[in-house]
Amino acid sequence: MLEIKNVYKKFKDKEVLKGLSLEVADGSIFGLVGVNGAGKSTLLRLIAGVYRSDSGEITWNGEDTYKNEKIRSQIAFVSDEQYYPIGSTVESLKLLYETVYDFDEEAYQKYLKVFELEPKMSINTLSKGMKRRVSLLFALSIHAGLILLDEAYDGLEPLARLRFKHALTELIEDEHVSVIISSHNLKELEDICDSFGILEDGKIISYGDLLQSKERINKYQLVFEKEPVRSDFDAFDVLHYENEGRVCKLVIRGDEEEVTAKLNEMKPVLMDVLQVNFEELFIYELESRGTGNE
Amino acid sequence: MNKKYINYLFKNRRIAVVFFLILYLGISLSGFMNMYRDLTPQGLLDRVKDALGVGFAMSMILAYALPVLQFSYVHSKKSVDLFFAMPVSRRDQLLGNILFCFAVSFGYFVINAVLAYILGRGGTIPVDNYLIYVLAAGIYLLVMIVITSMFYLLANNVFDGIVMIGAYSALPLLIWAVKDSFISYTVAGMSTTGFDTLSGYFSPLYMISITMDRLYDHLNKSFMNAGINPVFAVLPVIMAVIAAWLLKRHFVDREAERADQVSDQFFAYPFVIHIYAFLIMVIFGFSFRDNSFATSFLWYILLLFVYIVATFVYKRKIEITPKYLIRYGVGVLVTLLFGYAAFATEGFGQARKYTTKEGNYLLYTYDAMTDCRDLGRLVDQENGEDWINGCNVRVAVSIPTSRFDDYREVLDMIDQKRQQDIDWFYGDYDQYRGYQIHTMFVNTDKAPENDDDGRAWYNSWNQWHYSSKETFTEDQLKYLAQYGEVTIWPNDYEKWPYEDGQVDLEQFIEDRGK
Repeated sequence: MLEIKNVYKKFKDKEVLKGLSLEVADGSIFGLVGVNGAGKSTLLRLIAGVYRSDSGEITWNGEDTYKNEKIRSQIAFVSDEQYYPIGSTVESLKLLYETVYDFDEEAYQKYLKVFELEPKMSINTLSKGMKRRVSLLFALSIHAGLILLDEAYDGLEPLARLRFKHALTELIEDEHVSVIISSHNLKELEDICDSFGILEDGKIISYGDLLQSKERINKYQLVFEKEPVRSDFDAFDVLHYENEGRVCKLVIRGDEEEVTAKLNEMKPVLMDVLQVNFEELFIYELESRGTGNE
Repeated sequence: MNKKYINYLFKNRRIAVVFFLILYLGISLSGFMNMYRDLTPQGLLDRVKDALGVGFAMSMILAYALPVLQFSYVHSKKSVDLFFAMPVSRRDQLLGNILFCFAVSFGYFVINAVLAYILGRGGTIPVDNYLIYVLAAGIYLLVMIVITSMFYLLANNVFDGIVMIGAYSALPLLIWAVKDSFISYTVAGMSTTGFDTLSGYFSPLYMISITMDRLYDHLNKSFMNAGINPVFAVLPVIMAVIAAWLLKRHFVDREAERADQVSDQFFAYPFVIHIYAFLIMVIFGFSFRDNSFATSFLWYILLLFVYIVATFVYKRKIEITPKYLIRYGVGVLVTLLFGYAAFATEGFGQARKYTTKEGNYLLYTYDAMTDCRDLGRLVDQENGEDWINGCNVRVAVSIPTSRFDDYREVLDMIDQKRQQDIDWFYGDYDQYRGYQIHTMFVNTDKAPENDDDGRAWYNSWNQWHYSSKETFTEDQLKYLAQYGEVTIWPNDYEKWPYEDGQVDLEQFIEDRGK
């Protein structure tokens, strides 16, 4: 299990993470989302042991990921900007992973085929998407317990993405791997993640089970006999509100049945309840805090 | 130490290591290609020594180049993500890379040394000397690798890292230049020297080169007589220990987010730019009196321009703020005042703090272009006097220091002249420029008559060398002739057709009277 407790990190005068806390359960695919500059990459680098937190604690299976290098052999980190030494091939890069990680030759051979890669391929001549495949190949070949993907998912074309999803699903089933994916493509994340966290202003402002969260946030379209005002809905946890005459649209957080019952007490002429998707959930969460810009 | 990681480093670079080894041996052992021409012990010795000397020089180049290559990954965000996330501690990465650099640079040297020894059949070098030389090479290569790594890691990107290595390596030269300008411009008579011991203490490369050079020269002799400066031998090792301690901060505890950022750590650009600017200002401060106001002003403007460019290289943006200019102005003012103080106090009292009773002999020379009709008067060429009427007067007096009491009167006379020269230096400086009278004091252990190459007279060590307008009168010259040589070199060879163009004072005065 990944546990992050009250982590602070600042770069010179800029405080990026401000007392961030988070838990990611084993066997979970966690979608980390946030606006640009929210600190997603910083958080992943902290988890990977690349950065040291100013204070707080980050542990994987009870071990500090910065201080204990051994625990890092269980963590695969695919950065948003991958590094490949000049002139390196898939095979030469394998040497690094083979020597310092618990390398799984069988998995390597398997994913080599899945991602349609050749050992002799010169990495620097590959396309961005193919380079991503190389990084993912090694992330899946080192018996990692925790895989950190920093926008690594975004450069893949649909078929490769599908193959990668299958690979992750297999790993989760077989080895109970945990995955944290940061991405701007929320529709893609929605398909693969079972939990999520929204990072804003240096903190996780909302996190939990994706399905449950989506269920707890719904879009309500209501028509009243008289034109309503915003204050009529003060009793609800309204994330978004708009109205046009007697018609109003609300996004309300809360149990659907309870919210519907309470809204019915206001005697609307008409009421529709719609599900939100992950992207909307993200937007409404940020909007409700007055900080969303994406 | 992480064996897996070290294994990776060697495996990863194995092709390059072998390629450069062949290149290295091809250069260092090239002397053996024409070995058949000279199989004498001396010929073999020369070839073995050449191979060791060239090999050490090339390994020293590697000691600079390899850390740059091996530690470049901490200067790039992308590679930091890969390598700092590895299950290898920072300490192990540091030790692994230092070990790799050392193994390659020293390994090449050892292979070269062994091959040279075999090919040169020992080259009359005693085995213990040979081993000591190889061991010293190993120690100093490690020292340079650690120091270079530390300088390189002070910065936050590859370019700045290389600048730091260059800047810190060249800093001792600037320190020497400050000392040199202090002596030249503010201490009357004190001769400047080349890169000297004091400045050398700031340069591990210089100290190592001198020490290894001494060992090299004595490879087939006793190292006991190699004249090794113990401070030069040991100080680089102490510097390497300090560098290793600093590497903990700049590598083990390094903030990975420094990668690809401007190098704003105190000992990176902020220190380097300001120490360079300050030391150059100090030089300008010392030399201010020697230059016209316009020239000095131009130098300061040029330095300000360089300062701005350096700040641009550092911050990647042009930054000229009032604070920036005030800081520069304060620097100029402070160093000008310092330069003035140095001059006003006669080089902080150094000008008159000379000793004459040192070594076995005090050698004194005097050289003046005088009027042949009066050897106590200068030929005033600036006011139209004809050079052809000139006679060069040269005095050379050697006084054994053990017999100073016997030479008291002549010593007093010489010292009086010296005091006049010093007064002249700190007095009417502009007038002094036009004259060409040189007096020189050298303390030496060797009598000049036993000095085959005249080195004792002309070398620059421990000399005092004055230029002024104060001449000896003919009577004084006659007096000096009793204690040493006073020769006259007339410019008009037709009028004074002396053999070798010179004659002693007594003969000249006699000839002139005819």
